[in-house]
Amino acid sequence: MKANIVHIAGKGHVAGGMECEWMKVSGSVKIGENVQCQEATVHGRGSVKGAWAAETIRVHGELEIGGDCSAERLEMEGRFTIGGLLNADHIEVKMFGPCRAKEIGGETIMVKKHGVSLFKKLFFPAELTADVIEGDIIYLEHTAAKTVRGNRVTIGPGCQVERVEYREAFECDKESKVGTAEKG
Amino acid sequence: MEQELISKKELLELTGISYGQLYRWKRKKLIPEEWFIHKSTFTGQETFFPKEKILARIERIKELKDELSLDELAGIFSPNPAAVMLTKEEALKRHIVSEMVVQRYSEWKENKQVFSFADLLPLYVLDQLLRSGDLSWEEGKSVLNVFETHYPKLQGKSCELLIIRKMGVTVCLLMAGGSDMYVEQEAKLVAQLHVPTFIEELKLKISEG
Repeated sequence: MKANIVHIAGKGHVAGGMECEWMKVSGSVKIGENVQCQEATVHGRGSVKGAWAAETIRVHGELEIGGDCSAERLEMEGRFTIGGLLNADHIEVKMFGPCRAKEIGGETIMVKKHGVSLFKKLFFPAELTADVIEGDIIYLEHTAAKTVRGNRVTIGPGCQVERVEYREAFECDKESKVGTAEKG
Repeated sequence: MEQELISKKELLELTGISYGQLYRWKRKKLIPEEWFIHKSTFTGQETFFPKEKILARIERIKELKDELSLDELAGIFSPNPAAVMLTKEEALKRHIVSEMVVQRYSEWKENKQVFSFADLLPLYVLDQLLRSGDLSWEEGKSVLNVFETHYPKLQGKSCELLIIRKMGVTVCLLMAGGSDMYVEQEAKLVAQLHVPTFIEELKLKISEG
């Protein structure tokens, strides 16, 4: 599907891929293949089977991407699952539930946890899981990762990281567990 | 062919670029996906690159990034031919071909005046070969022929042009994918050229004009 502006209020289902300038979803959208757009705002749920490439992606709610997700800017409030690489210059995540990506890479990566109810805390812990996180400036909260590499790395509360490699600065919260931290 | 690899960390140290830049260039497809080689090491997942190729590419990006936008750069590095049509004069002005070559070519091709990228690439390669004196114009025709008949099949693939001469007879080959090659003793390997390098140079020349 090719369009200039896509606006979905309610429920949308696109069987193939989508190419557009501007996309706004209030409700939910399911896309069968790849998405390419300039700017996308999703309030609700966005699900893409393939890869999603955009300039800016803003999501309040839930995001599910089968392949890679690339953008200049990703602002996320809620939870996400990304099957491949999340690649964006500026990544800002406020977690309301479980978040998962295979790899995350970019310039600035900020992951914070938002306060949630006790019920949600027990059943859907707001926690990010990733194999590798790489960026110039990294701030992480409540993240489980195998490797974190960066220039300036700050590990906030509630993290479990097997290995940190940093160049300039490294800080770690007392409550977090870091296996090895190496300057190099 | 075993190629030397470099880890991402070493690469960043050596070239002085940041993670942000590397990921941005990957996103803009300035660095092809297949150069990112994932391997498990004792320190966890690491990414490696073919050393020679990535270093050359990053050097080029650094040279050009102030003059061209990232999207323009992506066009230059993409292996798919750019959609261009140049007239004889434009091709000359951009120093893609010398006057003699273009004159003979257009005579040979019934006075052709407008050239597509597919016409220009073999001409550009041939021009370089003739300039170096390794090849004569008559032999050069076989270079043009091999490109004309076989190059469309190699679209988007990396390939090499080989020119072999034995007892005064010249043979011209296009070989997809790099592999080692051994030539018998009496035969002479006149030239072995990496076509994507010429594609990059040519695109750059076209965009400069």
